Amino acid sequence: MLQDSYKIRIKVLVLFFILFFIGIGVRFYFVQIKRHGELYDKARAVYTKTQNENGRRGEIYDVNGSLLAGNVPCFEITADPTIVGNNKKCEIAARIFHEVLHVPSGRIFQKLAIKEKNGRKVRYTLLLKEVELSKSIELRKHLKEAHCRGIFFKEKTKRYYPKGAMLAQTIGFINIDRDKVIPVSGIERATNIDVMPEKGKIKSERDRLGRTLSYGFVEIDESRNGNNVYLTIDEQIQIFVEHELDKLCAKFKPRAAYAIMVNPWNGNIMAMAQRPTFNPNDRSTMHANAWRNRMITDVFEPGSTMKPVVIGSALDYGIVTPHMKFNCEKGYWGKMKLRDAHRMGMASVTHILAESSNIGTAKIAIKMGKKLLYKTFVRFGFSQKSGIPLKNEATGILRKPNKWDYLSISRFPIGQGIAVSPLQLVRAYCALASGKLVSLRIIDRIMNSNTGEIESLSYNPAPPVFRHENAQYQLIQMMKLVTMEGGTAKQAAIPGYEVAGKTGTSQKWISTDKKRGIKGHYSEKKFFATFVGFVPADHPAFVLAVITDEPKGSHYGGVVSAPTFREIARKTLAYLNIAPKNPEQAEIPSLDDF
Amino acid sequence: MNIRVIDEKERNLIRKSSRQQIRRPRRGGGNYLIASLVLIAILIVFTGASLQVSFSNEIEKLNRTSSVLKNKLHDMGRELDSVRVEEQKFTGKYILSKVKTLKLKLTFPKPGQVRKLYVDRAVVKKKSEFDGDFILSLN
Repeated sequence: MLQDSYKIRIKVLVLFFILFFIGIGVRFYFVQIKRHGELYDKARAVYTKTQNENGRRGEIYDVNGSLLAGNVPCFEITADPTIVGNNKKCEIAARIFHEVLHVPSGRIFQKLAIKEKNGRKVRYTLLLKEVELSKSIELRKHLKEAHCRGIFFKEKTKRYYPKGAMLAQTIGFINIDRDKVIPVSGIERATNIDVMPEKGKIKSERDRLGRTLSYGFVEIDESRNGNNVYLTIDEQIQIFVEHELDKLCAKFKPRAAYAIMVNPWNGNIMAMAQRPTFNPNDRSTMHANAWRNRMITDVFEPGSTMKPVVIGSALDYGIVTPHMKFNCEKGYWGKMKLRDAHRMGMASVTHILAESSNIGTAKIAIKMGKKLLYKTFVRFGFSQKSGIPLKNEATGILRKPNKWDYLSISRFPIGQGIAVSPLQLVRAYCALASGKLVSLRIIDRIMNSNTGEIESLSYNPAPPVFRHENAQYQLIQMMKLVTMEGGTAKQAAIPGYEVAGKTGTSQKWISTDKKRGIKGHYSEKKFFATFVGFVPADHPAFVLAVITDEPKGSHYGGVVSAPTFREIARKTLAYLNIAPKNPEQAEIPSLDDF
Repeated sequence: MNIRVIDEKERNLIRKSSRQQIRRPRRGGGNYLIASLVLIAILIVFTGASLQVSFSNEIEKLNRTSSVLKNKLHDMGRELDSVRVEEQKFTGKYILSKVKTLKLKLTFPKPGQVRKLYVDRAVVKKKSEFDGDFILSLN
């Protein structure tokens, strides 16, 4: 009997254990298999530390690798007021901030002293942004010595332009909205996709204090730095251009002035500068009228600088020869209501260009006809984009021949009634200089900063603009006369070198303003004074345009812009080591005027 | 004849003791061996465990040191970045202005006076395999 009772007890116990283990097994099944993913993620989230890694925004360099836009390491200083401690501690911390960074201690104290807001604890407050690296290190050291806790230093970088105002409109700038970068203008905007970094994450197992466990798992999704962009700009030439523009502005006090230098053989922009300008590192100087890149977005009537284009095409089509004579009507042509600055009777095409005769050029254009004239403008790149990737490029104003009026054919060839951007004008002169319509380039190459791979940006095919090389040669010989004795731009001449170019003095169009009762008309006081040329004339190293908007004191391109052209050109020629045609006449520029 | 009388009780004791005498050394030796083996196993396990702990500790220490060094390197890298950008301020225009300030009577070179030197990298690579000389070419 007793043995039987033991047996039953044992059986019950065994059954209990079997059920218990089955229960555990079922539970294990649900926990380990059924809900494995969910619970594993939960657990992992508790012991996993995630660090976000920001790659570096790509840098911008000139053609020789001189830094134009870079990233400066800095710190963002935040605090947890609840850890900082009582008012006495806050006061000590605020005083240290004042001593090291010269910020008002009251402001820092106020931020540190607020421990509660709307009944909730304040665990985060932003004290300072973009604090210099050296200052931050000093500040951290002082805070540590004073046993100040709860103040955190977050690593950041800020965009910095080491050359200040140089090339400011072209490089552009960025804005930061929290951690998001918003490219506003220039190369920064045009190449944003290339220079933008990719964010990365490092996930690792941590201990109770948040320290990474060396034997734990580590998952690295690496960040990627943005690509570096190399421009076609040469910093040294850019300095010459900017310096001379400053001198021009000091002398003639214009509303604006710009200069663009391009290699006519490949379209590389070697320098481009504009006044007024701004320092992208100092937001207080950044007025909208200064940071707008007028060389790209604005158009103007090119005036007489259009004449070589028309005359070159007429020579190419065999409509005129350099010695063919036209009646320049002694300075006034009533039929077309045209005037010349220099009164001439019968004058050869060469003289028409050298003396910049409006009447003579209009007569050549009439001989060409509407269709051919329009075709010429298109062939020289007017009404088209120049090829550079900068945004908001203006294409100018060029009406189709069916919309021309009676006077159009006499006005367009002298650069009136047609509007071009400075870039289009320079590009057209590149075509005169090299015989090919090159696409302008400002980005030379892009370097992958992670792998070092370099991608050179291709050159677009440049269609020829002259059917006969002789026409181009004849035109260049005629354009040389412009800078010689008797021409309109003697001040553009460079001793020892032959310069081909053309002046332009165009009146500004005053738009109709009904509110003020102003009817649209050409201003008698406001002008664009322009000089565009290339040197050495027979095998140019560069094409340079100097455009002055509303100069004071004089308004002639030959007086205002030509001397600036000369100074920039002679320094650049020396810098580029271009040998003069007549070495005994050549002058070596001095470095004293910097 | 010498007859020894042994009673049943005594005989049983003799049998038992003789049986014990035979078995005792055998049973005692086996236990000793097992105990030794267990002890050795425990020792091995403990030594292994303590070695692992000590190695882990050492690895952890080294990792901490390396992460401290990494942080230092990172900070130095940031300082270098800062200096590199700062240095770029002192090019071009700065140098020209210094020429003026220091009244250095410098001029541009005469055209043709300057000759660019460049290293023909392809030749250098080939040549360096033999004697490491650099080839400078006049451009």
